[in-house]
Amino acid sequence: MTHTPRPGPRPTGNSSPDTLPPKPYELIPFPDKPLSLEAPAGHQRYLRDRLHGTLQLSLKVETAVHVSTGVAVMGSDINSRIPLIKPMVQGNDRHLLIQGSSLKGCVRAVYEAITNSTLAVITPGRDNRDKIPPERLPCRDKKKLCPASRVFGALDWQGLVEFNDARCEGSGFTTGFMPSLYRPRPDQRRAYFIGGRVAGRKFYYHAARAIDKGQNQGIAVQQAGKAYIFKTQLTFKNLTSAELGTLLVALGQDSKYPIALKIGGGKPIGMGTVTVNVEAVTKVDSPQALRDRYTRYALTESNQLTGEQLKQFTQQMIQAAHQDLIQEPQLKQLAEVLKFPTNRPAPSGVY
Amino acid sequence: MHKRFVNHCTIELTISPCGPILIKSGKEGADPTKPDMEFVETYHRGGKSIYLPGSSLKGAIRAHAERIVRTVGSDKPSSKGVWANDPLNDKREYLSGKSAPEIYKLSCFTDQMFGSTEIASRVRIEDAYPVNRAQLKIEERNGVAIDRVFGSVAVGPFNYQVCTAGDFKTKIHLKNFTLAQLGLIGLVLRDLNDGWFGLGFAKSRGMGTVTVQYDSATVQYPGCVLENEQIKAIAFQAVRSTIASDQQWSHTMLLGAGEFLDATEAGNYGFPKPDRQETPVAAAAMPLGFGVQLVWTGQIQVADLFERSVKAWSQLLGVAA
Repeated sequence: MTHTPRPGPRPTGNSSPDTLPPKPYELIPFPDKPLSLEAPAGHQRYLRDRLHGTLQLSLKVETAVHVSTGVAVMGSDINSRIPLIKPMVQGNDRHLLIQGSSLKGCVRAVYEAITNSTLAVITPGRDNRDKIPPERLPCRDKKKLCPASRVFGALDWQGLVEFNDARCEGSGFTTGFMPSLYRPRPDQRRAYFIGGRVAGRKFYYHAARAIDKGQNQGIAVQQAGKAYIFKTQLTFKNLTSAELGTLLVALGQDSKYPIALKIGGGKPIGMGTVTVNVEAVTKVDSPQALRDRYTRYALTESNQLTGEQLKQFTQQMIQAAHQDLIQEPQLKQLAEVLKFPTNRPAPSGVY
Repeated sequence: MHKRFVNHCTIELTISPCGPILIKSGKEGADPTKPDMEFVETYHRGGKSIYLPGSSLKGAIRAHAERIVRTVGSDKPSSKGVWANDPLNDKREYLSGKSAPEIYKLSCFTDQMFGSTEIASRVRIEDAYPVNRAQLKIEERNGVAIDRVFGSVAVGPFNYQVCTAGDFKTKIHLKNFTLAQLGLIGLVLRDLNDGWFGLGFAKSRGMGTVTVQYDSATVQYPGCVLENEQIKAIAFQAVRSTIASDQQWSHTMLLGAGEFLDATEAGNYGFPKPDRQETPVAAAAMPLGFGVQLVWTGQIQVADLFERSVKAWSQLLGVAA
């Protein structure tokens, strides 16, 4: 493994919290309304009153992104002069990739937070379970699912959206040197809990610039540098307008809530900020369009929306989302945390 | 109808992953250097190799075929148009005690093609083996589930094996098919190539999308001979009553199963008749001088074959092609 410098000593509970910079994250509280659990739309047919299609996405790196493969390799393996480095996933053509699973997890977390949904992932263990409000435990019954589980999947239920790996346009990469990060300390920090129950969902602030320790002081990582562009496609079926709208809000397409995604490693030190641009939407959204698609082999007419049409469509969907699914207080608070651009500095020392 | 062999279609195709794909073996091997989730492996051409099992392909193809049928048709028996049942929960009481032709006629469109507990499948899909093992790119990926409250690792990391490049060749066979059935297979393969559904593990998070390249399609009429640019059904005395001996067609005709039966028998099974489409491909004699075949070669020709059969499919739905 790489040489991992130990993080500096961290002040314990005894030292004054005033000496520490503000935490680089915030906990977004759960909505206080009861959950509305419903059966999901299913995969058995393309429903006539729902939306099916694909979103073409372009992701722009704003602060260095590193989504780790989980292993360290010799620099010579990836044409780097650094002796040992933590690589990202690369395609067969050596272009950097962001795994579909990373992207999905990141978008789902936002979708969960801005709708009245359960926690999709919790750390196993009885102690931990007891601290979670019972109604926020992951959905277990596939006939009664929360809004996020209906779209992204749950136990025994495959979701309605399919993410693909995002591929970097260029073939290059940059090398960063991450400081060692601190682990979460729910055992010491009370803000994680209110009345013995977890306070909400954790989201890290974006920062204007990511911290880079420089060679010999940090962990060498392969990363996508600022302004790198990744392209990907997201396929969906049987979504309602509100569900697609909420997905678009989570991707930062609501001009009132300009948010960016926070993906991969180094979130506390400002890494992982990515802005999304929806370049085109291909949709099949009417009984006639479905009939045309499945009674002809060659697809001549394209239902692809771009430019002004795409803008209008996005607006319609987002409006439906605000009426139906989105929890305004949660979105407001989350948009404060995930807003981008920002002037916020990343903590350079202990945080 | 399995008792007689009237027409047969073999589609040869090449499946290539667009991104990572994984068909899980379901078991963790004893080799500690291997990831937690491994690709299915078999012995092929003298060596161990990953492959795409026919059952995995058939499951995905059938599920999408059902989805299409339910979308443009119904999920309940209907006298008009096509329908697809829920194959796993349908008790099929409506078939009990019925004769073979009735069972076929009363089964839903997808049971007729892919089989059920009452009737054998007339679609066969072979395992897809790599064309060249050396070209396969197999790598390991890692996943980790992040706790939403603490931002720490909740589950994992777990690692899995994926294939990101390579070509897998397979064949789809249809026996005694109607042109609408061939058309539906065409629509399913088109959607597979377009990424409307995927294969294997983790389809919702970046895996399972493939491209489909058509290599060739061969349609055979084993009970016919070619005479003067005409396809003629051979009439044996013993079966004269069931095969219309005077039937003959132009040598460029794509023929569904109903064409080879007399009107009564076609009606018993519910085979459409007429069920034919003109094609630009001319028939040739099969090896041994017995039977007639039409061969479509390459992507463009096979796509043309599907385009013509989808016309029969849309006619069945009452849509003018």
